This record gives sequence, C-alpha cells and structure tokens, in this order.
Amino acid sequence: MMGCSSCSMKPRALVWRLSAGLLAMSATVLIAIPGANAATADRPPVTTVRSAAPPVQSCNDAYDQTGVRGAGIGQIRAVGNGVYSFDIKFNQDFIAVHPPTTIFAAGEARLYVNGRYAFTIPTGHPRPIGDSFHSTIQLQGHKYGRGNKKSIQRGDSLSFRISLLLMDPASGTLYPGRGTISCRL
Amino acid sequence: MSDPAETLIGSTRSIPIDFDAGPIVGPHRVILRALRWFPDVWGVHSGSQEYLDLSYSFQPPLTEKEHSTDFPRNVWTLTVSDDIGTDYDSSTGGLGISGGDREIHPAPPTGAETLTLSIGTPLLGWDGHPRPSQVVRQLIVDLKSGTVVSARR
Repeated sequence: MMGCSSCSMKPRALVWRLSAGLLAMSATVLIAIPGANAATADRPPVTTVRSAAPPVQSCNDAYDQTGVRGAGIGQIRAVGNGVYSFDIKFNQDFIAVHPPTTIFAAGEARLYVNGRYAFTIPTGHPRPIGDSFHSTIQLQGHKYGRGNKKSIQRGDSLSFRISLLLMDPASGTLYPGRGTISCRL
Repeated sequence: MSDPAETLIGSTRSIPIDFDAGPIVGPHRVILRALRWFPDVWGVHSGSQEYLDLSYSFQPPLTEKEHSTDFPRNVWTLTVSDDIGTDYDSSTGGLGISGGDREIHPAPPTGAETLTLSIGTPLLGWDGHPRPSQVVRQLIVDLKSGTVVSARR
C-alpha cells in the first residue's frame, strides 16, 4: 500500500500548499519502504493460504486490505441511518519505520460506485502522522453521476481509492502512498 | 500527538475559544481551543477560498487502545450555522490521542456576524453501538469582535 520517493527539497520550502500537486506524483512514483511490508493498492492482500479472491467485505465494517501487514490505512464503518464513518490512520509498525518528524501532509479518497466515480473526500491540511483523518458521510441516498441522477443504494459495490502523501520536512523526503477499501453496501 | 493548535501552519486568522464541552466522548472531556482560518487549496467543498478549523483537546487524553478501537465513538458531532443561512460542511477532521481538529467548509462569508457551533455526542456510543447524536452545548461566536458571546446547554 505504502511507497516512498526521495526528493531533495529545502525543509523550509515545504509549504503545505504544494501538497496537492505533490500528491499527484504519488500515482506514478512508488518505491517500497524497507521493513514496512508494503503492498500497492492493486495487489491482493498477502495471505499464507492462496485464494482466488479476497472475500467481499460489508461496508458496515470494511478496511483497506492492501495496507501494511494487512492492517490497511483506511476503514469504513456504519454508524446508523445510512451514515458511515470513514477514517485513515497508520498503525504503530508503520509509523515506527518513519522519522519522528514525518507528517501526514495531504490525501484524498475517491469513491467509485459500481465502477463509476461519485465524489472525493479531501483530507485538508497537514496533520501529525499519529493522527487519524476522519469523515462522516451519508452514503445511502447520496446523489452522484451526470446530473446527479443516480443515488447510492444498498447492494452497490463501493471502492474508496485512497491517495496520500507523507512528508519529512527535516530531511526533505516525500512518501506517497495508496490504498483501497472495497465493500458492498 | 502534539498540541493540535501547534501543528496547524498557514492560518490567516484565529479566534480563541477555550470552552469545556464536557465528557461527551466516554469519560473524556472535549475542550474547544480555537477557530482558525485556512486557505482552501482543494476548493472541492464549496469553491470557497478559505475554510475554518476548530481545534480541541481531550481531557484526559485517549489511550492508544481507545484511539484504535471503535474509532467512530471518538468522533463527536459538530453542526455549524450562521445568521445569514450559510450551508456548512463540518463532516471531516483529524483526531489524535490528545485531541484533534474539525474542518468547517466554507469559511463564513463577510456578511455573517455570528457563527453557532452545536456540539453533540458521537454517533457511536462508548459501548460501540450506534445511537443518535444529542446536542449538548451551543456556542455563539461573534465574528466581528472575535469572541464567544454565548454558551448554553
């Protein structure tokens, strides 16, 4: 799920406004982080038993199975009345392999419904790497598509495609990453 | 996590809040710290050029286990309104063991004079079961003077 690229920058020049542009790089520049047991979003989760496909998760409690040691970076959970909690957070093993000055600079989750783009959840400003980003979203009934003619319904197949950018201002190192939560509503 | 207020760089304006909303996340009190204005580089929420950020802390801080278990029970609800009927999106934020922040999109338009922050219980109870949120506190912020003018249950 997670990858990194080293880019030379002056630490003071790491203005967070550039994060949006840098995030776009994450889709093309990915190098595995040593010791992080990372996997990219388009690979199946690593398991000890070979299986044809991972089981379909319910969106009531689903997580990104492509993450560090299977823990993932994203999670979706039902909180009642068609409302869901979405969050992105990093586990302690993952945080431990990064410099303590690393921050969660920027990210976004693009939601696809039955393969069609619906909307994007941006993560806003930079946060400490130990913090979680969260969003409360009304999924069932949410309008999407051209002219907002479609609405998300029970039984729909959802895919949250997460792109993010970690940054170590002290060394000027960028760590782009990706993950995906796939689930059925 | 460090003080959320210290982690936010690039704010263009701030209003101190310093208000204790009570123990609404299990045994943890939520202390509202400050409202800050930030440039909205994404602009996907509303096309606005700025948004607000409401920082807060937990007293006492969450444990690592509390932070990672049943995460939504740590997310208290926030509803925002103003005196001219602006629609606000306050559905996103950040959360660490000692506190966090809530984003409010967009920033209030120049014609707004007061901002009302309605603080509610999480949508997931401390026992891990979903339950409707209940508003426990309301704050009215005078945007012109930059002060909290009213706080009520």
